[in-house]
Amino acid sequence: MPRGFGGGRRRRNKYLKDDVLYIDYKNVDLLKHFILDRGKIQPRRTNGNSAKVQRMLARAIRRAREIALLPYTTG
Amino acid sequence: MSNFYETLLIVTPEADEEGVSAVIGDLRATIESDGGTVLQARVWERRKLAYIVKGKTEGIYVLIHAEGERTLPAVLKDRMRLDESVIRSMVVRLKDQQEIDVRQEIAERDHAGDASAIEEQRAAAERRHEAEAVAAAMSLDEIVAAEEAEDGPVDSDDSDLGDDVEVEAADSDDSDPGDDAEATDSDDGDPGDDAEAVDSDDGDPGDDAEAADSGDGDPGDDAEAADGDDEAATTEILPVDESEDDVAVNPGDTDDTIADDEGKEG
Repeated sequence: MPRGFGGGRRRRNKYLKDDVLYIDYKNVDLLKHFILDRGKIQPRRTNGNSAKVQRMLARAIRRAREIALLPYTTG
Repeated sequence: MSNFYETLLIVTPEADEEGVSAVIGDLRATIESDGGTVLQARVWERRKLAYIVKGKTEGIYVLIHAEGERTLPAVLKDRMRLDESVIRSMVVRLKDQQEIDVRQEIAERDHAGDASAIEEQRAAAERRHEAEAVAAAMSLDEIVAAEEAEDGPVDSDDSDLGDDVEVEAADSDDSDPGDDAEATDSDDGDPGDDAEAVDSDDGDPGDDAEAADSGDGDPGDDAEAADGDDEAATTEILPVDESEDDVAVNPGDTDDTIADDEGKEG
């Protein structure tokens, strides 16, 4: 497990399985787990998502932002 | 070829019920004049906006599902741009599994409007439960006979418990279609998922190790103060973890990742 310097701890993701077929951008409660305090998308290195899941997730978050369900930025 | 589109728009919070239904009616007409079919058009929910849009901090979200040609999104967007009570809008094409799920949800929602249909489904579910209880007390060939007799006409895929649970879950969270994903998640018993949520089920020592890890004031965890989930996870897992303590010490199949992690920390 790569730890690099100072980065967050990598752990397995308990909200999304690697074989999810889609992520709904309206599911704000789910998406909230994957954004940082400032509203940024959490990096894959900290949440342990597969590349595929992370793509779907990022797309869902960007869609949710577009329609004001999630912030682009906070604070 | 026609596509399946989902439109989510925000109507100004000042709009009353009439105003909202006027917008919905207008968009229905727009979709139909473009040769599309509206499957569902309703208020999704009234909620606070994540940021200010056109000076508003709140909005009424309207959700529309429609079938149409690929000209439809542009036509809809044009129409919504002209309507001043629509402060934000988005049209998205749904496909594959998501399309199937949404279509099914709409069908169930339509059914739900009919009180007798609900009652019927509930009764059917109860019958299945009873059949199961009875079946538990019967011998194997009797079970088969009973299932053919009782379950057959109600539900063709006999005794698929997972199926029932899914339908119920989808039914209950009317207000938030998004919730489905989670509900389904926990239903289908994926070992990966379960392992962390309901440890006691599979008693995977590797996971317990992880739970203990996050609980015992691991410095790595503390450093991650920015991440709010961690604490929640700890409280969730801990009680289970305590009850499973004796199982936790099984070097046999400890999760690789965890073992690695601990090695580096230690």
